[in-house]
Amino acid sequence: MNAEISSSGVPEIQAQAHDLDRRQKEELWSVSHSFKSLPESRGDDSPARVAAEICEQPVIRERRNIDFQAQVHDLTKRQTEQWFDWMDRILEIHRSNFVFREPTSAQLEEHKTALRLAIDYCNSINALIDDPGFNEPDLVSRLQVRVRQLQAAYDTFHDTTFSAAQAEDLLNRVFPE
Amino acid sequence: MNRELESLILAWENVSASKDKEADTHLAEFYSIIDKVIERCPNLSRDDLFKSVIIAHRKWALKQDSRPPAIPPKA
Repeated sequence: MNAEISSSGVPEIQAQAHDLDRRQKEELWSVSHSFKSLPESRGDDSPARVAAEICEQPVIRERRNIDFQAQVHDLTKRQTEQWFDWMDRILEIHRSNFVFREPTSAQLEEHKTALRLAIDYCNSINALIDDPGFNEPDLVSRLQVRVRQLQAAYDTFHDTTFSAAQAEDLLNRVFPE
Repeated sequence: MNRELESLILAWENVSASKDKEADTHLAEFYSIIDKVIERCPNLSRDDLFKSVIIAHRKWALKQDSRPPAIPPKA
C-alpha cells in the first residue's frame, strides 16, 4: 500500500537551515566583535586609553587570546550540536515522508535540494571540527554517522550512477532465493 | 526472500530508525553483515552492494503495513 504525502516538510526544514545559519554567523560575529571592541589609544590620559594600554600588556593579551579561542571552541561545539539536531530532523522527514511513502516528483526535487544542502553543511562543519587542534574526535565521529545516513538518503532517490535494475540484478546474483 | 538479504535490510532499517550514537552502533552491525557477504563474494563492489541494499530497503518499506507517521510541515 503506497500512501502519498500531502506535503514533504522539506521547504520548512530548508528555511530552518537558512535561519540557523544566519543566527550562528551573527553569534560568531558577536563573539569576535566583543574581543575586538576593546578601547584603542586616543592619545590622552582618558580611562579608555589606560584600559587599552592594560589590554595590550603581553600577559593580558595572551589571556584575551586564550579566552577568545575557548569561546570560539565552545561556540563551535554548541553550533555543531544544533546542526546535528537539524540533520536528525531532515533524516526523520526522509524516512517518514519519502522512504515509507510515495512522494510526488516535485517533492522529490525538494528532497534532492535539501539533502544536497545538508551534505554541503556537513562538509563545512567537518572542515571546522576535523582538526587535531580542535580535538573533539567524538564530535567528528558523530558527524561521520550522519554523513553516511544523509548520503544514503540522497542515493536512495538521486544516484544516477546506479539504477534500481542494477541493484535487482546484483541482489539476484548474490542472494538467490 | 533470501535470509541473508533480509538480515541486511533489517539491519539498515535499524540504522534508519536510530539517531546519533545508537545509529553508530547499528551502522557497525550493518557493516559487519556487509563484510561477511564481501568475504563470500570477494569480487563484489562494497559500494554497489551497499546501494543495492538501500534500494531493497526502500522497496521493503513501501510494503510494510506499519509505517512511521508522516511528518507534517512545521511539526
